[in-house]
Amino acid sequence: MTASRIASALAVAAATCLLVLVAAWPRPLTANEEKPAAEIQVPTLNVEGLECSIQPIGQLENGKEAKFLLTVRNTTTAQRDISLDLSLRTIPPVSPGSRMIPLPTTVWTDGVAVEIGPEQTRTVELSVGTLPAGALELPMICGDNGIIAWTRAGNPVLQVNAVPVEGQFVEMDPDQIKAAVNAQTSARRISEPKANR
Amino acid sequence: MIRRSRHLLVGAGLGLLVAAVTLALVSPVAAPGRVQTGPVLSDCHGAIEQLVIQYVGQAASLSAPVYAELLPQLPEDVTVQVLVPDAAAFADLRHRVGPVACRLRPIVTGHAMTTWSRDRWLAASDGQQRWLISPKREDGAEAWPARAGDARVGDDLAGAIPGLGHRRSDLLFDGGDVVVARGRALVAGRVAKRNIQHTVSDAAALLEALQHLLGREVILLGRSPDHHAGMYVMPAGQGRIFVADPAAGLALLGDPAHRPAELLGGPVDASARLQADLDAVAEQLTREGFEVHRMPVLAGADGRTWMTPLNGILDQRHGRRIVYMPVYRGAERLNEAAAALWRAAGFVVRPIDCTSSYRHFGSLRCLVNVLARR
Repeated sequence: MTASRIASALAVAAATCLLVLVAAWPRPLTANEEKPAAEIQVPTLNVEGLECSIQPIGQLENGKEAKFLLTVRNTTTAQRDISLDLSLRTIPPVSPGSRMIPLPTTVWTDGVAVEIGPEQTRTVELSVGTLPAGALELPMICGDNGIIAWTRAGNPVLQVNAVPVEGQFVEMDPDQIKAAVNAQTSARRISEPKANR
Repeated sequence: MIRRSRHLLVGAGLGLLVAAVTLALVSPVAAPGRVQTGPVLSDCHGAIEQLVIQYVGQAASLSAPVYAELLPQLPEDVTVQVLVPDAAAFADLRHRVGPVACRLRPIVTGHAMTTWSRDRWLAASDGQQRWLISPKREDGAEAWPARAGDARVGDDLAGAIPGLGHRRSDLLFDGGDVVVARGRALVAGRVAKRNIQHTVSDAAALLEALQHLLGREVILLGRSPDHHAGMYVMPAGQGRIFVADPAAGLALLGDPAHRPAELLGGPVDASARLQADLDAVAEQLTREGFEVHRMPVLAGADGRTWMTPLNGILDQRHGRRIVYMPVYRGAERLNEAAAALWRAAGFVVRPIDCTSSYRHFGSLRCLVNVLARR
């Protein structure tokens, strides 16, 4: 093999190698290797064959009366009953410096007892009063079982110390933040859950 | 013709061979289907090699005093990856912290974020590669620009640190919800509330998903406070574990003379419920074979503000165990009692003043994440 042939062979080798590496270079490791799983759209509390879920009735509007529909489906062949503790909770505003969203404040609570025949579905309308603004969640609990049955993302943050000054947030003392949060939430806070069963 | 171009074919073959060998060497090892990232990092075994902090000017008043105590105490073989929104923030941190022996390496993100590094991701290693595991999404990100930015820091780190992979989980969690002790991952009960009937069908499915995600046997805490696990449990090595004890904290600081409400910025949580929650954690961990010791803490009635000496960083080097332990001004009796307990467990105690941060619902461990240990 002459020198020119060796040079040609090496040039082809380099070009081939380059082409393959460019085409097959591994994707960045930041890429996800798997498709994200879909989230459950209607959370359902399953208690020994009773499936309980909650959905809002109509379009919810802040500051107006809100209603939800509790649906209980008996998948068994026996007459059943179930007692549920329900509450609507609002997430108080939070400082941008906070590590966590504060614990929610309960604005409505009720107990619902449902009797239901075999393989039947029953619905119960729930009036939760005036709907507050911001993030909300509606836990549904039966004994030791419970789920967050419905949530609404909202604006739990930046309502207190989010006054922008030349693009910067104004820092507030934690005491000021707590006082402001309490002022915003105390009007909605209730003292005792209603015993309705 | 073939004979004439044979040298070209040889060249192409040689090129393919070199490319194949190169790709085999650089390709990440990933199992087909769901990515296995290996076990998440231990909280108490191994010498700290790399830490990650997020430094933002808006939170400097709460985080800088903590970093100014921690960073100068770190040895020179520790690298601290500093996520900053811009170069000016890094300069500000250097100025506030002063001289340090460890290496501070800036990673400029160009976007807003919070200062709470711990909750953004979990570190794992499959033996060949290090991984970051981020939650499915950040709580409140839809309305909180800094939290939306937090969701990007996993990618920021993987893009800036060679060989570091990043995986986004299908589960909802904060990094602070997980504590690794005695080879097992303890997961806060609040993770169940966030995920069951939202990302998974039931508790069994959650447990399976967590064990796959964390690469370790999982202990899902049952009855427990609605707070990050790192606030109320921490391993102490050799099968021992500390569990928070509010009654012990009240015994130290509950007297009005110590002004506990002033310390917490609100009423103290002296409820039987909180005590029962933590007693339940202690009982569950005892049943799991841990040697449980209790640690005094002072908790606020808001359920978030805690003065906890457990929210520390543990290091193990040169045969010594070290705890960088949060301490709080005005709570000297608590600090002293906690230090004595850590010492009794064989730790060298290095106090870190977290007075500036705890009323924002987090202390040292919340501000600092551990990326790698040796």
